[in-house]
Amino acid sequence: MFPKLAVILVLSAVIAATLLHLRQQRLLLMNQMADFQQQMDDNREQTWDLQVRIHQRLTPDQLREAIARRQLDLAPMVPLDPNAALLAEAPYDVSRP
Amino acid sequence: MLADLKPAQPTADARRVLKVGRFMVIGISVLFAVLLGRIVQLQLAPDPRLETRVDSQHSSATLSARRGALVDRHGRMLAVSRMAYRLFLDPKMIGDRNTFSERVGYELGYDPVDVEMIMSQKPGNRYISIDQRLSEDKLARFRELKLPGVYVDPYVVRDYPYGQLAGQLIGFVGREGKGLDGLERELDPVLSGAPGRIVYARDAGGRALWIEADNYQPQHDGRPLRLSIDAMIQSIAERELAGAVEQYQAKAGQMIVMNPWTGEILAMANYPAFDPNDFSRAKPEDWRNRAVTDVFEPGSIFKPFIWSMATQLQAANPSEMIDTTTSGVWRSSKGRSLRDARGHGRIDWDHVLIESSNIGMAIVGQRLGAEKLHNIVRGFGFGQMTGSGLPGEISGVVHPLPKWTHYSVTSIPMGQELSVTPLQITRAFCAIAADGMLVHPTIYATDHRPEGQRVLTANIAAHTREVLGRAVSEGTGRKAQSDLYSLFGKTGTAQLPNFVSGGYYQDRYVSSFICGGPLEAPQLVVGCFIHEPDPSVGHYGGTVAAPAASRVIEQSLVYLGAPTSAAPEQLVQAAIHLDD
Repeated sequence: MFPKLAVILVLSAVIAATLLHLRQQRLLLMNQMADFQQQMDDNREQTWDLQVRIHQRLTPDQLREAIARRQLDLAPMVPLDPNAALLAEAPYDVSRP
Repeated sequence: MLADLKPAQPTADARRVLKVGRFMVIGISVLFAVLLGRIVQLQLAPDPRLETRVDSQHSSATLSARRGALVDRHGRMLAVSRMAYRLFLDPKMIGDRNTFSERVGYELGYDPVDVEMIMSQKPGNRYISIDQRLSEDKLARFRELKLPGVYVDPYVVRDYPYGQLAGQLIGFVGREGKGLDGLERELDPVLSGAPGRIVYARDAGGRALWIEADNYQPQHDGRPLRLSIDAMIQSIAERELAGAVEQYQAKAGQMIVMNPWTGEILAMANYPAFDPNDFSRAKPEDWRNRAVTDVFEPGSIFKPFIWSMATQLQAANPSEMIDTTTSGVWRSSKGRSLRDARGHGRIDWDHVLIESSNIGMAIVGQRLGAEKLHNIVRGFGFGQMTGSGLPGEISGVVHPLPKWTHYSVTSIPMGQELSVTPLQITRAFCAIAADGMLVHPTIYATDHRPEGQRVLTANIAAHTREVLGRAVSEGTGRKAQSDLYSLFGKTGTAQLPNFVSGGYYQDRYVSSFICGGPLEAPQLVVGCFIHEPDPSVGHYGGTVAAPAASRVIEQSLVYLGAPTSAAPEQLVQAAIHLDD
């Protein structure tokens, strides 16, 4: 009787310890999940912020200023001469006045 | 010998050990059973006090849902949601109250007197807001400092990164995140998201331990929408419109740029403009998108529609000579006296449109008769909603046929006795540009050509464009000529009707110009409408509206990469001109 009870006791202890360990691992994972959730939220909010900042710096007026600052001329496209052999030999150079 | 093999009797010590062991095993088993019972009791019927205590270790948080962004056709964000931070104080958590306001003021850049005053106004309050929206610098400073008793409260706000660009079209949202005007209001059900909810188990220090799986509801973001607007073309239109309104000291103006083949609205500008980021500072009447909510009597820009249909119905032939009188004054068969700006004498039907002759149009209007004229007007979509889906759009005014008088057959061909919205008339002009197909205008970007309704044959539409091209090169629209592209267009100078005493004001006008280009292969249609310019500066559509519309179409075509047919020496000049 005694050996049987002892075996049961030991086994119960082992099972309990294993269960406790598994529970602890589960809690750790859940804790990590909570951290990830918060990180995800933070990242989402940061992305929103960055998107707005990017678009605030790319308004048509700012692009126009940037073009003017670099002294680029906006000129219309010119149809290529069908007889021209290469693109580089396009008939008109309108890149600079 | 056999007796010697009997098992030895345990000694007294061994028996005691065995006994103690049995007791321990039984005791531990009982202890396990009690523990198991306690676990079952805690699970099935816990003590309420315990429940309260466990609940206090949980806290719920809202997961912010993002309102769908409104983006232009190239994905540039016209309206977008982001997080903002409200700075607040909890006086109970403040350490040294005497130096607190000075410290907050000094470190975060607020007036200590203001901080002290706000705190004293709300005694006992544990949430005293100091700043509704922290700037980026102050937020960074706040995070560095970690002042006790000072906290931030995040919340979602709507931003309009391009400021006043397309303000009236986009509209704005209120503090609760609901769309209050413009597309923000119209598309609220699509754009709105549903916030989520999350419950955390927290430790004694308030740190999140884990998420309660049963109490997790993910948020659902709103759907972003891609508009047909092109921010660059919108910017060009707004700049040129503002320039024209200010130069001619007008009261207001609208400018519309459309793709005639798809009906896409590429720009819809209003002046005066307003910034949706700060809508409360603007006058409520400036929030209105007058391109669809307001009507005006179109005047001469209406002539191309009657002219083209009269040609198609063979009420007049292009080569036919029409006597518009040398005096510029003509009396209709019903005795109505009509005037042209100057006497044109006998001119062909093409020149009736090129010179914008009221008399020539009235003569052919009489030939058409009321019923045909009414059908033409309705056929081009006047007196009906355009189907754009834009908020606040109205149908304009076209009187039912029984209400027409004998004056109507001479008034309608020159754009009187009816009212149209700027969008309606720009859309109708698109039919001339798109080989006679009338499409529904749309504010959503589309990748295919919608099925339109044929109102003109392709030949008549092409001929109308050619004649309108001559109106720009040799007629009333000469100031709209472009060095880069051949344009076709029509000017309009309509007197404002006087609803009090009847008739028309002699010094109040709507100056307008509608054009399309390039003439050889139309890509864009631009409508420019300037309301009540100062007549002492200028009031003719060809002077006030035509140059602005021409610059918009020219710059937009260059931006879109439309090939030019201009000679190289003109291109050099044009490049300099565009930079100016």
